[in-house]
Amino acid sequence: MIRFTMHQLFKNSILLAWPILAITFVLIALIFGSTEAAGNNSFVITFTDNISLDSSMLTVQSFSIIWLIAMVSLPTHLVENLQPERASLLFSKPLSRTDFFISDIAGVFIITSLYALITALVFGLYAGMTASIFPVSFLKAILCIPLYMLALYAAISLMVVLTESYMASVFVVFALQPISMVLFSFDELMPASGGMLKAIAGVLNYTIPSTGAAQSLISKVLNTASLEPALAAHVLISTLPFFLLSYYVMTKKEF
Amino acid sequence: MVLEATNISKSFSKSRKRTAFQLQIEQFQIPKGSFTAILGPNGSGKTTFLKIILDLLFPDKGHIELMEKNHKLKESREQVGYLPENFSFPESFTVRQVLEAFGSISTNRMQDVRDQITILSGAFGVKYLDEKIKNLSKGMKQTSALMQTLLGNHKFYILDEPLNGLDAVQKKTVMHYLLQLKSQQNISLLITTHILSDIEKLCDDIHLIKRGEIITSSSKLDILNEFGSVEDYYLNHFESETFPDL
Repeated sequence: MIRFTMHQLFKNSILLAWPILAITFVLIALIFGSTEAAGNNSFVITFTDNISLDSSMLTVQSFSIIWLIAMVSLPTHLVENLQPERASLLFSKPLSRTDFFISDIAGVFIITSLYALITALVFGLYAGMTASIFPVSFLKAILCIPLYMLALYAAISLMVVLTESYMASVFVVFALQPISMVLFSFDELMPASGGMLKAIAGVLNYTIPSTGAAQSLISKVLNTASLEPALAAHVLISTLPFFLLSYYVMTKKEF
Repeated sequence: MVLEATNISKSFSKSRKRTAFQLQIEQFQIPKGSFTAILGPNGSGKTTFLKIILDLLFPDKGHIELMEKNHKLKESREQVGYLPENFSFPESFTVRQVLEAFGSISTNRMQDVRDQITILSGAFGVKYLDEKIKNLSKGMKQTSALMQTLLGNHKFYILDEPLNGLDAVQKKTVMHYLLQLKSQQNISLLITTHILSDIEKLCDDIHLIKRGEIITSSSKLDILNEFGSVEDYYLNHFESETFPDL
């Protein structure tokens, strides 16, 4: 089944825009820009006197575009596969709902990791060729994006299994980002809030897929080049309730 | 037996108190090598029963053995090919990609899948393997779906309205292919269709279903002896109810 999921994701033209945009950007930078090393193995790309982009700004810009692409493209194949017309074809094969569920998540993780790797390779080669540096923190930050995607996909998966609606899943993913950021930084944002509220926010922080923790992980990697295992574990743990719930609903689903 | 269903019950409710439809099958068996049809008017429960057999719908009670295994186990479907009445393939895939993608779910031996695609496309005269699904006509899509079902050298095929949208030549080719599989590989078949003349050519046993219950089961030979044709047999059971004034 994983081959089927990956085949579908490779054919997803919106998701494919991710590596294509990365390659296109680097080609444009090669032709029209100039690159300089800027300390700490980071770099600055200058297109004209007025437009320059350092590697941390580039990460933020890339991240926003990838988030947008993921939000609109990742639910598509799952919505299609759970329509009765498609599901009755799939589940009449020797395929259990568990196989389907695990293959689907694994397929998404593999493809997003592959696209992140392509993005990192393209930018790594570019920085090496033009500025003679190896931007370790920038590349590590890019390689953390699949973890963020996994958190997004936990929310997508649950919404699609519950509603079979593409729009509902896009909406939830759109809303997840700010909600998760607030929950993740609750103590800093609302220091005066009561203990009960803090406790609720603390629980929700680990039961709603924490894109906030993923984002914080990426920005810490970008600044220090070291991966914080506690944040990575936070992201993974926070995806579990949504994934387990969507798995449960899936096993009860009739087509 | 390739299929043995006992005391199957499934109800669909309009509300907590009102049942909109109930399927009630006491006993249903298909022996190895048998071509069996379930016939009945629209909404009589044919598709519901097929979906229950394949664990796509869950019965309220009852037990089903598919290929001598509990039908809830995925292993029971290893030797079963199913064609639903309504299906959807990824529109951006070509026919070849669809066949390979769906074939890859059942087996890891991709070369076998590719070889079978070549054989099936030859048998069905399919020259549009590299056309995208979205560009195909209804008949072409139906043929592609049949090929998808037949991939994998199964022992038992469950076909829900398999001849929908096919022209006379395509229909004849499909029926010839299925009969050839029967004689060469002793496959079994469970089919539903509204085209009664096809059933007469294809099937050995016929079950009539009405409002979720099997009302009668007979062999084709008995039907032909008593009624002359499957169509007359069918009309004898259903016409008076559908059009009481006739």
